Amino acid sequence: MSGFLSFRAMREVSRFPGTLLGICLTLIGISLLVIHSASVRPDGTANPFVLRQVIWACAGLTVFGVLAHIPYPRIGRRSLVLFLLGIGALAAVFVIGTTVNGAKRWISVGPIRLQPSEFMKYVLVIVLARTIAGAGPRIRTWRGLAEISAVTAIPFLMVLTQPDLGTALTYLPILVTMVFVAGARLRHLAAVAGVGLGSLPVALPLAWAFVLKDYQKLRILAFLDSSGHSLGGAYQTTQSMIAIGSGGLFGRGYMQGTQGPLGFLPERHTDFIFAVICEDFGLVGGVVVLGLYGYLIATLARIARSSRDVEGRLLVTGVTTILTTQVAVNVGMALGVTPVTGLTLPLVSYGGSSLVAAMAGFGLAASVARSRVVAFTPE
Amino acid sequence: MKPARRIDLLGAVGLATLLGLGGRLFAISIVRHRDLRTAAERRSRRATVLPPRRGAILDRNRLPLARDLPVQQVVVDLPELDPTLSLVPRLAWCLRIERLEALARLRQARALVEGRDPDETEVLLGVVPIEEGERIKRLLRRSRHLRGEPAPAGIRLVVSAGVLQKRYGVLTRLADLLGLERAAIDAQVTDRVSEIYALDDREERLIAWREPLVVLRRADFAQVARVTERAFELRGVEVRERFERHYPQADTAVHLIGTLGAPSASEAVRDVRDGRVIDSGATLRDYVLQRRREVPADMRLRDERYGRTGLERSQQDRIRGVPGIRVEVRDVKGGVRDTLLDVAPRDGETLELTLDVEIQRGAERALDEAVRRWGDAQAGGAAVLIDLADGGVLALASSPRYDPNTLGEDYPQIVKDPRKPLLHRAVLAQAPGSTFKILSAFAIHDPAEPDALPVGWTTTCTGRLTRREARSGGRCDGHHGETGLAKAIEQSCNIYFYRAAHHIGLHPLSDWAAALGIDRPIGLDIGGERRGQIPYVGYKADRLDDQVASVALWSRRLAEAARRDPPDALALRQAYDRLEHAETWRKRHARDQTLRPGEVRNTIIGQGDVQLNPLQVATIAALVASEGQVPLPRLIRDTTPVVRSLPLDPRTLAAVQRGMRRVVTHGTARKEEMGLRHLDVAGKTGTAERQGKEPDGSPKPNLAWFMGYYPASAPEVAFAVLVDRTRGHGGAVCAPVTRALLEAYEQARGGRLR
Repeated sequence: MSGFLSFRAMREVSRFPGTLLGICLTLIGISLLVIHSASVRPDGTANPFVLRQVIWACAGLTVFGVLAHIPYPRIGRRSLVLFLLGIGALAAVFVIGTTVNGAKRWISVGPIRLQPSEFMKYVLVIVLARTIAGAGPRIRTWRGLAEISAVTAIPFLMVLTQPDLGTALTYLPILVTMVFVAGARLRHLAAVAGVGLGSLPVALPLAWAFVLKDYQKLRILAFLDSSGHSLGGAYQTTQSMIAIGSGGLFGRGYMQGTQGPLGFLPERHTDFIFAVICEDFGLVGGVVVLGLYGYLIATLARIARSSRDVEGRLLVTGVTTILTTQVAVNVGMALGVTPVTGLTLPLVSYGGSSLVAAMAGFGLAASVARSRVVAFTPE
Repeated sequence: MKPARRIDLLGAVGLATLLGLGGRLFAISIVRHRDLRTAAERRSRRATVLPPRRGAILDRNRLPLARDLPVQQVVVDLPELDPTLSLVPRLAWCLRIERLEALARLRQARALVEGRDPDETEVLLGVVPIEEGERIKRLLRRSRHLRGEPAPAGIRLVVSAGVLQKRYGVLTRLADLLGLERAAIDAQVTDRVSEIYALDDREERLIAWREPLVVLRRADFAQVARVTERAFELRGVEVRERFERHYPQADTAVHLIGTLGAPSASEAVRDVRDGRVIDSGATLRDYVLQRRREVPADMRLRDERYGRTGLERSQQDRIRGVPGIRVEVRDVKGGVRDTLLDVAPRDGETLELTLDVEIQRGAERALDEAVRRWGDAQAGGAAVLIDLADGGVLALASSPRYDPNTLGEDYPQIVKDPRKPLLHRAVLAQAPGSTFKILSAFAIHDPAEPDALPVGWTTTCTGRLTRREARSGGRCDGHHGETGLAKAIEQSCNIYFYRAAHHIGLHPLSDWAAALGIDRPIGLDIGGERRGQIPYVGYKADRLDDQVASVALWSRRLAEAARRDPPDALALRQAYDRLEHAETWRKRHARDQTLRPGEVRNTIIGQGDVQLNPLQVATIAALVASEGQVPLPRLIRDTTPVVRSLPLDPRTLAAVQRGMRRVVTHGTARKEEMGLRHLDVAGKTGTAERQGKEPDGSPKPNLAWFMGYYPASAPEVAFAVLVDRTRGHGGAVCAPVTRALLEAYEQARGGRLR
């Protein structure tokens, strides 16, 4: 063996997180299959989504490869620059952003629409990992916790005012899990949670009156009435649940459903792609996809555990949190248990920003994996 | 806690979340699978019912008397046209206002936004207090057109101008294309909507919503082309093919053809419940979900028009046809993607009649003329011509008539007309008068009867019976002297028959009448025929029993109606009237239980309680003409002729035939102006008198009859003519009609009167 490959190369191969990449490729494969099903227009013609998504997948894999190859501390060292770039992009959205459905979230660059808040999540992970690792034991004090929270608060508030409540809310679990893994005192975390919960009765009416936009209020109203039909989120949720329910155990067959192909299910290639999976492939299809995500989470957790330093461990934690939150919220939305927020299903939903950002996150995790301690002894 | 443990913990939380979602997924895709699959299918499938073509009715020369013509209708689907309409009940409930007020509010809103920018304008429909969020949630759940806007005062209920403008937009374009007034169509829509909201039953309302509103009953080619071409901007508007019954011969033979009408409310409810209405909610759903795939023969359409009278009714099952249904998969924009079920409608059979329109028309014209000339203000008449070869009815005329094509519009006048144009007098049982004497003659001289008189029996007519024979009545129209059977028929001598009646009694008469089939409809397939009646031994007791039963029935109905909560005023009134009527007659019959000799005398000359319909009177003539092998009257060509065989005594028959021939040459119809004298025809006149007085005190007018056969020497046809409510005599009134009838008969076959 060693005749073909150098010891260094052997180490490279053995450290390369093949499982991680394998799961990602499987999910992307499923994604292309389902996007093809979901891109049929009601009149029978197809949207050119699959081809575009293939291009985005290539881009995503490239980003993955590049980030996996670069040792993560080199990225961490540039975290301030990245953070400023991210904030700048978020600020740019307010000035030159494209308004869709009453919210400014996108920047159009030629034919491509970018969503800076999507990338900001990963930038936040990088920044927080660096900051928390740098803070060391100070994380166990109130002061340290407050400093770190302040870092999160800046992009959080900016995204909230776009307004994009869904994405903004995903920033919070990132902060909480990373601080938790970094070793914050449970006492502190419990106190914060307690105050947060205690302030809800005060905060909610305030938020209702001043912060939330009409369509957000309606989405919440619709969510509270989860069996609802035909209005904004409620309408979409109903259609999604019908799609899932009509699939049954084995599904109605690839592209054989009615909700998706006939256009009753809105946003079926993006937000509600999970419903299309379940309509076409039934409970079995849904469980396979959820299982792949579970496997992905387990794999990432293993990488996090075996990381040789705090920064790496936190990076993977952040990436895992983003993944888990998005999956939970998106699938929950399709199943009618979480509000309709426009969060995508990582790797599976159609959309370039989402796919490239997710692959970037996994690239970071791969980079951490490559630097871990592996029990490998050459003969 | 070690970092590794913390990571494990987080991982576990993540996996647990996924597991939870898996559980929810199971609940939806397995537990609720059936309901949700149904929901998906209902959403994506649309059923179209296809009306069958009702069979045409043709005369013997295949001239159409009734036929279905395809018409293109422009219809509007209300919920599609105006999405706000279906919100009205919930809107009213939500805002705590009346439905009509909610409708009015929407109308005001519509007026307000006319011409405004649909994207920028919104109209406030009302404000609901925050505490009543539950109400508004239910409303919003129903519609994607309403928006709830939280505001300090409560939740503002807002609808966009675009939605409100839809109706006027579509209607304006539609009115333009069809050349109608938009306001007129809009008023139609508003009326219909108010009607629907007036319905109490929710299920009924839902069904009513699904029924499209017909904007234009008969669209011409250009209109259809224009609407089809602009279909993309006429959402909710459709062109559909329906059939409309058309009667090309207008009022000719209207009574025997019959009319169509909508099923009554109770029939409609019953049919819907029994799953026999293909486009009613539950049945249609079964087809949509493919629980049913066949269309049984008794399935009908909700707007199918049923035969109400005549052949349209009696041959309903043959000619109605069976509707078809098409279930398609449609996408969210309404485009057809797949066809799941396509059952073609089965058209009804074509009915070919023995009737000849030319003869029928000739008969009707002459009849109308005679009724006008001889009848009073309530007069009517009938004429029947039967082909002796097979019983085929060549003419079955009734006067007066109406035009079935415009019955709907004319109905109020028609029911007010004292002449009762709706009555089919050719099948209505009435007193046959002296025409009945022909049948009596066979009874009197029936060799099978022990009491029968010999054929050569004569009596001396002095114009009346003796005091000993009859205390009152017993009069004849003339002094006929020595009278035998032939002369009695020729002169219509009552005395001959009275004395014969004394001799034979009632039962030979009723036996002969029954043998011919007087006590039931005599025709094989003639819709709406009324059976005749003739007194028999014991008929008075039976009549009383019937009335007693009737009294019992209506007492029970009255009690039921009274018990009902709330009291059903109409049923109460009806039951009371019926009871009163039955009780009056019960009393009258109870007092009148003995058969008096005068009644037997009345029976033998076709008066009193004898009633025959003109078809039956013509059948008596056919009995003589066919020498006992009576072909029963039939109207439909492909039915098998039935011959009823009555053994006739040859000597009696010869005397009767001689008598009937002499009626025209020497007897009651001999006069030149009656027009039959020089024709080879045999017949019998009849002038039935009604008992009682008119409201003004004058005696009730008579029924004038003439029946017989032609040609007398070699009979081809039998006929009967009746003019009701006239002061004239049978021969004078009806003989000219007979001549016209026979003329039409000869003309139709290219011959000349013989």
